[in-house]
Amino acid sequence: MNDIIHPSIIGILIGLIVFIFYKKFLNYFALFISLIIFFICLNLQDGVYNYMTILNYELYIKVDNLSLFFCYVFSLIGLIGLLYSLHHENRFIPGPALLYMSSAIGVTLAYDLITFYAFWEMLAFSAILLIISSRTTVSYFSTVRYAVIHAVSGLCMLLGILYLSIDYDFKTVSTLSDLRGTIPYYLILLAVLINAAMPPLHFWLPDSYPNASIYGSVFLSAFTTKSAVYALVRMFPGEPIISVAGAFMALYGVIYATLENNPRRLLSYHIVSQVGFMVCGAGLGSPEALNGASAHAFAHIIYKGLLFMSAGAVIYSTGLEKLHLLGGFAWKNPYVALYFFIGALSISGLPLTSGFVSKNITIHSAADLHKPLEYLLMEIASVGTFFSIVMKMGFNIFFGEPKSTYEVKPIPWNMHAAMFIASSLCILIGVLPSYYYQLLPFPESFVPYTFTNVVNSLSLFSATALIYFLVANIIAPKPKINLDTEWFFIAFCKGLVYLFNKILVPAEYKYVGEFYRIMIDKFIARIQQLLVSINYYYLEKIITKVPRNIYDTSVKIAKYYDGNMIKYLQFLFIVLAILLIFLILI
Amino acid sequence: MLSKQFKREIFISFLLFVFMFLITLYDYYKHEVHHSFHFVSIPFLSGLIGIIGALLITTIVKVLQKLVSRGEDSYERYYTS
Repeated sequence: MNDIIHPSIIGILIGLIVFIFYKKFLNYFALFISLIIFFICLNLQDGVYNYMTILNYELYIKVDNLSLFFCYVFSLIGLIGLLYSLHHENRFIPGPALLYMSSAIGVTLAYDLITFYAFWEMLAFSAILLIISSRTTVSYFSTVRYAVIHAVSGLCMLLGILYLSIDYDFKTVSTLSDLRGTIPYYLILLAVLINAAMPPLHFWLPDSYPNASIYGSVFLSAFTTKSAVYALVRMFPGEPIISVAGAFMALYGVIYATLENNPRRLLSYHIVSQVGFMVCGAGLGSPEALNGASAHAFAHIIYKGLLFMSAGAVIYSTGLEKLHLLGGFAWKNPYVALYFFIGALSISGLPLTSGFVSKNITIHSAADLHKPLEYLLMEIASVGTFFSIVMKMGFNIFFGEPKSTYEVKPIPWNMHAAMFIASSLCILIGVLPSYYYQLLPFPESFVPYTFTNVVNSLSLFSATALIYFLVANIIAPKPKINLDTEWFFIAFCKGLVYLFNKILVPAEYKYVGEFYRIMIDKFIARIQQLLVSINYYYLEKIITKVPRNIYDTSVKIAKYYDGNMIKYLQFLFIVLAILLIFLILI
Repeated sequence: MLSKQFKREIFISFLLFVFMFLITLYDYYKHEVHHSFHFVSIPFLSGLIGIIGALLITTIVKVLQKLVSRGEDSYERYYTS
């Protein structure tokens, strides 16, 4: 008998049903289910539970402070995202979003490595459905690239887990610090760092998230990278490589974000940057730094969701997705401007917002652990965050003169409601940090609101604002695209194609072909004679009769099967359900 | 090169900057604060990091723009072909 019903199993089953049998009213059903999952997560009690047994192999979940902390925020953002997309009729949003949210919750609750791997792969699969939700050519190409890089990540994870299970008899999701220096340790670390979008393997993120629909982006911003942060905190606390790499990652993200002209691509680079803070926290490894990584992941999921929602609201309203074409939107829809700036000030870490009480824990612990490089890089990354989001993106979208003429469409109530809830959470966390800190995985003694901390923060941002206005013309948005590390992969693949076309193909024609002709011509000729005789005596008769029969049968079958994949899936699902009922009855 | 159209914004942010500088000096001389590194005890360090960081990012962005930016019509060439 199993101890518990896994909340993710409910989400995955309902998500599949919503996806396969999609009708617009199921948006409300998906929202209701996400609410139920949220309440289940709120009521989970600490402990290890068996939730399923397959072929005598027992699968477990583990509930503790760390997993609960991530579960709360994953279920919460799933709920907010589904509310945001409630009015929108698209098969690829509510079902895949439920799958995605449930997979992320599954990763955080997993205790055995098989469960962890299954949900890890499910994350990539559901993300693919969300990326393709915009159904454009660019989203199709982005989906392919996303699938390829996550296949590499999944393969590394699988190899690492198999290696751990067989050679080290290690079967649970827990710290791997004792195995540092072994192959499975680095295989799993690589898989996790790919999902965390660590440069130079981060290019899938700014490539795919902006190409999804505005609703898909909200979910995409929340789950994959933060599941990876959870895995780093759980499995690799105190790994020294990732603390420095994380701090560089934080700076790298803001530099590329400052270059960007596409608001959702700019926000995607900020995911890279903010995850850098979390990766650094995980790498620093002290309880305070791990709290910092977790706290920042929680706050980041909410404010980044809010920023993607408000950017999506601008795109929905104007139909424009370029900074150099926008401007003056705050006078046309001040509510969206207000939501955006609450999110933007939170990500920058201004006092009274969630970012201030979460980001500073990691920076403070870097100082406490005497890590000046990490400290300085994170401080400069904070400057860049304020510089690019509040000043560049905020100023160019919401203030100044509109750079093109555009009409403004009203925004549905549910989008407003979702942004209002997320904004309120950003403020509540910032104003009442003591309640927030009680949820953290480890005891927390950091006091964010000291006179010095507040003054330092305001000094940093006042100086940044002054410099921004002085150099605003230099970094003004331009109608350009920016190549990133994917260029190396593109160049490598193009080089391979060039190599095949210019060298290998002519060589094959000139030399290999000739060689084969001399060697096997006689042999082929014999085979040919044999086949001709078989064909003449036996196949000839079959060939005339079989196609006729196939054609007749096809005409009959075509009445039932019209090539609609969803109908096939629905049929398959019904047959499976009947089989399952039949098996249960037996 | 400087953005002259933002004269008003530059003036306001400069006033804010000076105000924060004075507050920081007050904090520096009035409050005993434990510092983890020696350089953290520099007065108005956060403001300096803000100025140097913003200028550094602007410089890197300007250089990087020359190296990696392409016209929007290049998207197809790189990403969908």
